[in-house]
Amino acid sequence: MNKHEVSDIELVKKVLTGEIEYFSELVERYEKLVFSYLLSRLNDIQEVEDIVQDTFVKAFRHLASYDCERKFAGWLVTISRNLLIDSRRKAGRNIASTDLVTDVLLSDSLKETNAHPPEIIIRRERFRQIVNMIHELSEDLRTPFLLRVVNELPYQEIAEILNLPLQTVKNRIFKARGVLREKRETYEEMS
Amino acid sequence: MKKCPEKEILMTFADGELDKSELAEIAAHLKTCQTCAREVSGMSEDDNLLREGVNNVFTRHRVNERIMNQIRSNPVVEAAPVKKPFWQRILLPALAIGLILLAAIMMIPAERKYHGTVDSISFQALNTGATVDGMSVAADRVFPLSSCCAHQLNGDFLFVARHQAPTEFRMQGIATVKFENAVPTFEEADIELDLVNGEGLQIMVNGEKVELSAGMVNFRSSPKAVSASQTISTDNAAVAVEPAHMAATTAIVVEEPVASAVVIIDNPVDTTPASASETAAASSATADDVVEPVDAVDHITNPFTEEPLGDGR
Repeated sequence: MNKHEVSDIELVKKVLTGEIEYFSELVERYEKLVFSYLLSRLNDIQEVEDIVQDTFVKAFRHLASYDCERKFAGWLVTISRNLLIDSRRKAGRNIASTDLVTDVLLSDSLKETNAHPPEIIIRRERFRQIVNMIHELSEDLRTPFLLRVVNELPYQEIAEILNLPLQTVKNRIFKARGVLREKRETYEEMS
Repeated sequence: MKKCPEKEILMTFADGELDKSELAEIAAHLKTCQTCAREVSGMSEDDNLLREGVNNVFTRHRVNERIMNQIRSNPVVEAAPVKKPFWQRILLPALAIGLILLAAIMMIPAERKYHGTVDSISFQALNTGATVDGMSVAADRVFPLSSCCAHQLNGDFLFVARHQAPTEFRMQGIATVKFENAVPTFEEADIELDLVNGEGLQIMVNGEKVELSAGMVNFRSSPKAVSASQTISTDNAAVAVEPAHMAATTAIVVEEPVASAVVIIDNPVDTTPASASETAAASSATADDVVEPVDAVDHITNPFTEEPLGDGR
């Protein structure tokens, strides 16, 4: 993700010298990544929002500890994963999940337009199927697949961010695609 | 038509991750194979649909402003913890713990140490009347105790067990002794044992584990057994073995005169002499090389008193 004019490390250095507004650029670059990561692992959209926020605030507070040898995206995902673990631990004591991510994905897609031409209805139905199919995938398959599709990250970068071997990432994405393909064929046969 | 590529190749193509050589080949194949082309386009359509849907949700649930507001309200970056080198993080604490443990160990009152096993053990008679396997032995002769055979001892013996430092103990009485599993073992023992020198020692006496320490210990194998002092007094010469520090416990009263000669243990003849005089008679009937003159005992030194043995006649 170093396609930007100013590198992540330069932004970090600027923030550390007191120019905190440069941190918003880092948020701009990686908010969707952290959001997608959490979306693949949580059922509560409100919790996704909260942990995205906590992830960046925590990253800012501990920016002086950031190891410039690491990818900033990978560091953020690590923070996010730790917060997620804490959140799940708390949820074990206080389960209060409200808006399921799947429901939000489906309801938000309905808001794209009020008009209902046949093409939009077909696309919406297809989207509903995909969301439901992805929901049935295991987390291990869902996370690299969403990072690949939603964030359009190369396999290698996903491997670095998730701290997994490249081949593992490839295998998981292929497996996710294979499962989705089977479900799609089953649906097409039925319809 | 060429054979269709594997599904993984098509997926990799759809993800734009194929290298250039494969890319051209697959692109050419897709122009001629509708099945594969439909597969790839189906994947791409689904990906686009999913991407758009998630982007819609993301746009509605962004928290970038919330993040920056929270940061602006408290723009404090915590100082990075100092990364200590390995020797400071691991070695120093380990060293400190080690020193504390060492000090604690040193403060514990020293307990008597016992040998679990010994490397070797030997014994020798302390007077001229003692017998090994029924034969009188010279007091200066040292017998190694081996694991291969047991010996019947009768009399007053000094044992030297060697481990890190030698341990010396005295046995008075009758016992079958062997060296079993590196532990000195006394069976059918009717004996008194006394640690003379060195660290404590673990031994087996009549089937029981005994930790031999300072102070005399008595063992009796059966009611019929006679005491060690009685046994010694009937067979042995007049040898008073009284080291200053154990005078009260180790004095031996000798009632009969000492034998005139000592039979070497290797002599196969007459393994059970009834008395010293009989022993002398038997030994004088055999070859000269197995009989030592009575004077031979004069130069033998008692390990307790450092004085010559055999002058008690």
